[in-house]
Amino acid sequence: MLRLFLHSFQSEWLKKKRSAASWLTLAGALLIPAIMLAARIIESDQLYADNTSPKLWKMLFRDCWQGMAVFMLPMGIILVTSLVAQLEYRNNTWKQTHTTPQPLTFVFLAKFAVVLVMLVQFFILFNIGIFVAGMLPALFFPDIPFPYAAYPIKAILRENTSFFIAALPILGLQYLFSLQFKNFLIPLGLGIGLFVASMIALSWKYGFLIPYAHGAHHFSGYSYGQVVGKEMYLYSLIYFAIFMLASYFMYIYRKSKG
Amino acid sequence: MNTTFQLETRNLSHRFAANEEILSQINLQVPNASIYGFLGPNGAGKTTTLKLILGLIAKQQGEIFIGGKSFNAHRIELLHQIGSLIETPSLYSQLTAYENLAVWQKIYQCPKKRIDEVLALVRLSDTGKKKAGQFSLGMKQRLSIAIALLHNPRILILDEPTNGLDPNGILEMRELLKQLNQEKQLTILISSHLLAEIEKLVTHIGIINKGNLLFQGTLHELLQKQEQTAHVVLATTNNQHAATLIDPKWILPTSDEKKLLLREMPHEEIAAINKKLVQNGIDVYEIHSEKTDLETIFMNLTGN
Repeated sequence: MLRLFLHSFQSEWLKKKRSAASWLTLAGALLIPAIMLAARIIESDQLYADNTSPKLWKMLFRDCWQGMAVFMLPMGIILVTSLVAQLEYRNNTWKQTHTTPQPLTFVFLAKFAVVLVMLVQFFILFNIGIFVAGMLPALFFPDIPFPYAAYPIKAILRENTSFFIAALPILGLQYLFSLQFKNFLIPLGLGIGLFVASMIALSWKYGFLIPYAHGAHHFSGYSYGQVVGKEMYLYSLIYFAIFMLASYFMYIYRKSKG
Repeated sequence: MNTTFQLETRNLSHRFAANEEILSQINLQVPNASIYGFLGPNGAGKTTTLKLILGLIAKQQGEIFIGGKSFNAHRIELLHQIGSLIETPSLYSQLTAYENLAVWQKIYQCPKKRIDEVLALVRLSDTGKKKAGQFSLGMKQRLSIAIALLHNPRILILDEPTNGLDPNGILEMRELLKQLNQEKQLTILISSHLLAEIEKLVTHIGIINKGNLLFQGTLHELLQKQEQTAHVVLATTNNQHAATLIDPKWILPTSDEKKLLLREMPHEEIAAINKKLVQNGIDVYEIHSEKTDLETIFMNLTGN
């Protein structure tokens, strides 16, 4: 069974080769670190103080995640998830996919696994970008030392995990939307609409009910109503489970499959 | 269950809305190693039937058997034996021909060399890094056929595969399908709305219109139907008198005042009737043998 699923995954993975979703993952992950690197190089008089500061990595991580958690990550997930399912609609390939000898459950899970792995890829690239933004200036400027501060691998892994969990509900709901609608603009519009709503409701005490802002909540360390700390992750995971189940049943029981 | 039929549907009915029956009691019987032409005008129910057979539309009523096995009970196993091309080509436009085939090779787990084989078969080996999105429609159709053939299926289901092809492309497609049928004993179910397009290809024919299967049989049986409708047309100065001079066994009841319609007969008999009429002082204006072509039979059956 696992082998069969692996074949389904390999097939799905190949489908997105050279697709807009692939390029977006790469560009989206590296954009903020690239801007950060450029900013550090342009403001080179700050470099020495920064690189000798014990808080360099924390500062870089915070600055990069600020734009990422609030805006880039939700928007990236909305776009990439919609694009991955759109590959089938745009190329008229659902009918070919659904006449291959594989359980529909595998098609559903393999396609989702692709989006999930792309998200992991995104996180890895983003962190490599942050690391490069921290290290690279020392190569350009001879009198600038490499960062004194040790790379806080544990803390960074912990923070990444938090942001990853906070991103899961968006991924789940966008996956549902993108499988259901042939017109690419609908999942995109719904995603952007919910994202804007979540931004408006960010400081509302029930703002956590809109999962598109979980990343921003996590970043800001907001206290919203009774829901704080670990409870937010629980909300994220519950939302994710609900969206995935709904998405699965809507996909499986769809009357027309091509 | 008759296993001489590679594909069989029993009482297949379908409706999209409560009062809109798209298919009514369709009993398709596609024999082993046949090329079955599934004919009907646009909107007759061909694509719906094929989509039901492939499980692309949820079945409401009836049974589908492939190689004697119920499709519902053995979906995955049976899909291993089917190659299909439904309506327009299904290709990932940003991938090359090879990569498009590799997508499906991962699922079917057939040897990688099969990709090169089917590319050669449809003459797309030299497309290199060109993306499928840049292919002409003919090339896209050929690549879709290659995808359908990749896993060496026993049945090929093609829905209007010549749509958009130029005459040369249609000819090539026809030759390829004939070759596959003869060399590999592949059963082919091919739909079309043009009889002329596939009459040179098929061994069996099913004609569908408004969701009803109007005719099903061999091409020979359809040709017999054609023979049955062949007749001799006769126009004279006095048709009424002429009718009394001709042996009644030849006269068809569909004759009218302007023309006499006679059963198909040997040329010698036509000459003898002509001679007899002239000898009795009746001038013959017109006398010729008329055959109904297959297209007309098709049009008559489908009510167009």
